[in-house]
Amino acid sequence: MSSEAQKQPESWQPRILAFVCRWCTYAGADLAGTSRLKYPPQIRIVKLPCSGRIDPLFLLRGFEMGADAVLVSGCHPGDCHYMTGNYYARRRWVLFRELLDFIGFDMRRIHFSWVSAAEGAKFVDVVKKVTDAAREAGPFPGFAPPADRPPDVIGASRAEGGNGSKSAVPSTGALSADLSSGAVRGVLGYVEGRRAGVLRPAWATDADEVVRLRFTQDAQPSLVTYLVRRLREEPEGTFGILAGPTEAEAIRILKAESQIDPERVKVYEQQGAPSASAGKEPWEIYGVPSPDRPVEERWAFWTAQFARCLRCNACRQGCPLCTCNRCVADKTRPRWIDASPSPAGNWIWNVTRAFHHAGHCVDCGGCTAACPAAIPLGALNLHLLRAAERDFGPRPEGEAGQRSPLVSYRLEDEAPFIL
Amino acid sequence: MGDQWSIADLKAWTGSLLGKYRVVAPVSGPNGPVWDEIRSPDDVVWEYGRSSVSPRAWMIPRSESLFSYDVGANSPEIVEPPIEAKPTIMLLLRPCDVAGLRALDCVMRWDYEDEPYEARRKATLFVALGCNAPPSPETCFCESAGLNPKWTDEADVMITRLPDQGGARYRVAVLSDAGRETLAGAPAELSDAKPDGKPIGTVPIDLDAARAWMRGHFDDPSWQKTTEACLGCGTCAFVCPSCHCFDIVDEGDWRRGERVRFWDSCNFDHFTQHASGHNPRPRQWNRWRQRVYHKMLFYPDKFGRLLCTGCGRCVEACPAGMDLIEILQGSAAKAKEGAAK
Repeated sequence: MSSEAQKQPESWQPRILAFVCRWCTYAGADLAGTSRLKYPPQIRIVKLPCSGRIDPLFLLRGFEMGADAVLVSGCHPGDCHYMTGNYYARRRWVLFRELLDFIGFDMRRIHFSWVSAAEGAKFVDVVKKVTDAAREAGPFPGFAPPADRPPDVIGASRAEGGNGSKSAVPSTGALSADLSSGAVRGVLGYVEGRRAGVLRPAWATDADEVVRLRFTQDAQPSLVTYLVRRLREEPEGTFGILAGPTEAEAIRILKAESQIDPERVKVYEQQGAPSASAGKEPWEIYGVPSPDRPVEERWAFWTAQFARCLRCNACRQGCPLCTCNRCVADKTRPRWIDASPSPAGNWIWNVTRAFHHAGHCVDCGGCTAACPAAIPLGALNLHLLRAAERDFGPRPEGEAGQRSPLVSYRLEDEAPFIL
Repeated sequence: MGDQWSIADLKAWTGSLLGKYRVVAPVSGPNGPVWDEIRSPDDVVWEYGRSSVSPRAWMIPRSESLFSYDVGANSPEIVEPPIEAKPTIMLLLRPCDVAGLRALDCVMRWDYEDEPYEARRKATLFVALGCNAPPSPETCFCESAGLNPKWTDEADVMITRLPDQGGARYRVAVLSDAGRETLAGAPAELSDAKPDGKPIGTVPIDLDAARAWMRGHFDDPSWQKTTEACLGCGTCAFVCPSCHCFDIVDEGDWRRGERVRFWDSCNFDHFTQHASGHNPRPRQWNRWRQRVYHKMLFYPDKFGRLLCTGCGRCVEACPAGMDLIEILQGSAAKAKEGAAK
């Protein structure tokens, strides 16, 4: 990337897109203008109500449409016209940068700042810095993998999971009693199919079916996915689910987010060992480049991974926490993310999916297991989970701890990269 | 050795094709063999069972541009991309994959001439390699789907592997004039001898019984139960050799963009979503049932052949452990129960 920049002629000018809040930064830019202050003219400003409204997807679309760098700017902490919008924005920026840096995005192309309505001079200063950095980075190369065409592969064999060699038979007394008394309409577990060791999710509705249920912590896909679907399809009734620690955590999160009605779910807790990823970093588990590797290597690795994506959305279908009724990938007015497999659309989809679960993921491995293109998606989520712990501290205990880092904030959150 | 080919003969023949044709063959991929263009006969995985994905992307790419548009200052300009149709040989297709590619023909060459498909299809020859044993004994069921794993008449050239004798030995048969041209300078003789008709032992399914039961039981409540594990991820369709459904969207903005055709799957919830919001297949089990019915009844009723080749990839690849074989066997069992009553 940097070598390309060196090839640029002197006359080349970066295209810079700025998303700013209307109350502070836009007024600051206005002040710079009325004060006749000069700054590099390559910047194009998009005004939004609040920095809290600036979805990272806007930034990615900006790059797709030809920007070489992006600036996001809002009111200083404490100054938000809507009281707290910029506190949410700050957390979002922290985790979004963690994700982009992890996958080798050139961080000279993405900048954040606080500029108040009185800081015309600071706005000039910020624009100069951003323009210099963008010029140094050179033209944005696009989202296609840099090297040769990646293998056109849909690797159908998948990562571990899905096989219940260690599957246990749950104790069925309570389940049968609840089913026969009508306390629950069905109990969700796994059953073994025709092929030995291959489990699939199934609902048991009577005592005969209960004895076929199996459970294993490693099985895929997560049972919680099926629980959410059933609760939405049937407006009444209580449903049971066999749940190990991962499923139980996902259920607690969904309850806290009002995605499932606590009254309608009965959890039958199953023994489970601590997650295999406990205390480990994503590169130790998934073999992806660690943040110590050169940025070019990370970019080459992840663009090649995303280029394989089929846009089947299996990652979403297999995720117990993907519960949006209408996913951003399916929205058509406007169409936010290209529906067909293309380098830009694939990259933006995969980054957006990972980011939506920043610090929110329960690390069940469902996305990786479901991906027919064998993209190590879980590494992105695990990295964000670890990053959220590092940046914002461990999730608080109890109900508050079930709120995703993206929908909460602390006044003391740190973001030293903000200009 | 007369009509018996050694692996060196096959490689020499393949090498002779490389200048004249684009040769697409199984090459090693991260999760088993995949289909790609080869540069040398040594790129080919000669000893392979079943590729992890079907070869159909070479007939219907997973994404292709139909035209691009650019609204200039005065009048919009529409540019159709040049249709690429290099003479191509698909080398070492299993008979099930040949059947899959032929099933695409029925749809794509049915009532409308699809130019890009037609150009690719006309320029492509199929060289098949018979199976003497099921590559995946738990999931292969081509014999139940009415295929002969050792032979197909639908290819242009048919290769049969003989019992090893100081190395691999093959027999090569020509099935079309175009196939004969590729063998003009063949290093060994050709042969018309067909392998014996003994079954190779793929998974047995009484498909006639299963289809008979399905015909009268579209609304059978058991469908909901047997298909409840489906996630709606579409993996089965994306590994399938005969699935061909596509979506077409305009990507870009009002100024410039592209009309793109790309793979779709009947297991996606938006596959049948109407603009009004109504969805005639509202539940996942409706969609899965549609997939089985289309493959086993609707398409055969129209075109006289199954839309399933028994390759078993969908069973192998399903992340939720869904098993088409189990469901078909179950349907056949229900037919027999019904008959007993």
